[in-house]
Amino acid sequence: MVGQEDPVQREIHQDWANREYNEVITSSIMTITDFLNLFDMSCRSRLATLNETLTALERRIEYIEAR
Amino acid sequence: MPLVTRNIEPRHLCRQTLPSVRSELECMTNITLANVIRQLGSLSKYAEDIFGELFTQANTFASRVSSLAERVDRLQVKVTQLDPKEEEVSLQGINTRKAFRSSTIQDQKLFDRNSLPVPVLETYNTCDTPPPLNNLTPYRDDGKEALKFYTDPSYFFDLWKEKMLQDTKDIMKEKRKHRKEKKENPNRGNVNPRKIKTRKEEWEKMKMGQEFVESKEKLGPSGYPPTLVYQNGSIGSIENVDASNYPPPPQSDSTSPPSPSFSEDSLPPPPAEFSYPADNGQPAAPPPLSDTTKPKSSLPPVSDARSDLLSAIRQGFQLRRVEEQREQEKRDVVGNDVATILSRRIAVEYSDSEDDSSEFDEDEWSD
Repeated sequence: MVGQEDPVQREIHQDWANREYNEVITSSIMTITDFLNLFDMSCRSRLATLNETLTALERRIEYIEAR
Repeated sequence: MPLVTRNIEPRHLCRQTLPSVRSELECMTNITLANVIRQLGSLSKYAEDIFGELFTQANTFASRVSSLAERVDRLQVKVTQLDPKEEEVSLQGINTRKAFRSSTIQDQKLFDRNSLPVPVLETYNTCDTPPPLNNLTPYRDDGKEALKFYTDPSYFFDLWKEKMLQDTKDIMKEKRKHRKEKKENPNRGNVNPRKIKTRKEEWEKMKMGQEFVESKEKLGPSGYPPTLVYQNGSIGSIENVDASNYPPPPQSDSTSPPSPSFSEDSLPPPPAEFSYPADNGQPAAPPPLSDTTKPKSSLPPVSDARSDLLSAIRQGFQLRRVEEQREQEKRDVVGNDVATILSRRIAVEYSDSEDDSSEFDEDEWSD
């Protein structure tokens, strides 16, 4: 009986180790995706504010040019 | 329903039927790792997408900034040149120079199919296409596309367009009425009751539609014919016309109009009448092209006998169909390039509704 358990136990142990490894990988993938989304959103918001300042400046310049 | 922009495939790592192998657990691990690699692949693709979009946006901003910097430099040079010189600007210069017009381009077609981000477009492309109902179009009598009865993406835009057209017409009618009434009675004290009455009559007219033609004879002074010809949003020209030519009030001879007497010399030619039934019978059809050349002060003849009026109206009905087709064609040709004109129309409309003291319009047509 002990002989039977050992290889099975070893397999199960190995399986658990593999699963932990996969889990680490998948959780790091999720951190990457979260980071990407955050980066995307923050970049877009900053670019949008830039956009607004640009349009405001453009309008002011047009006005000054007209004068 | 929230739509996911980018979906990383494959979604489930381990949900698969296992091949019958001896070491199932190892098999599972290998399958899982393989799926992880696939996921990394799709992740990198989406990452490239994201950074690409951000990059293009940043590039456009960079170009705009550089052009702005150039303009600032030029302005700086100009300003330094101006300083030592005397100020040439005199009072005449201030008055004669054109007022500052800001050329603000409105953002339109923001949510068009073209502006869909690429991944969402790919998701859209995996859907089924609508059935090819347009093969039935040649068999239709009324000239519409067959697919429009199943799914019409431009439906809301067309609806809104019609609404805007109607609004501009109504506003212009009201303006004309107000101006006319003001000119009729320079000494009137009570403006309000008259205004309310005309509004009610307008609504009644809109309800009645074709009955309007008969009721016009009975209504008398209130049967006010919108024969002022106009093209898209040309309210300015109408104002000029009204200032220059006071149009005689249109009326039938039965009732005694409170309006002042008109001169018979100012009888407009009959074609002016034709636009009148066209306008009231079908609010969506603008007056015909031929009338654009006519002076805008033309109103239907007031002193005509009823028989003449009726015969003219009958001829008007016949002419109306042809003109209608012409207008439809003309509008189709102009088509949806008019989107910008429409957005301008909003601006005109809202400026008009501000000028107009009638909150009635705003309450009715604003959300």
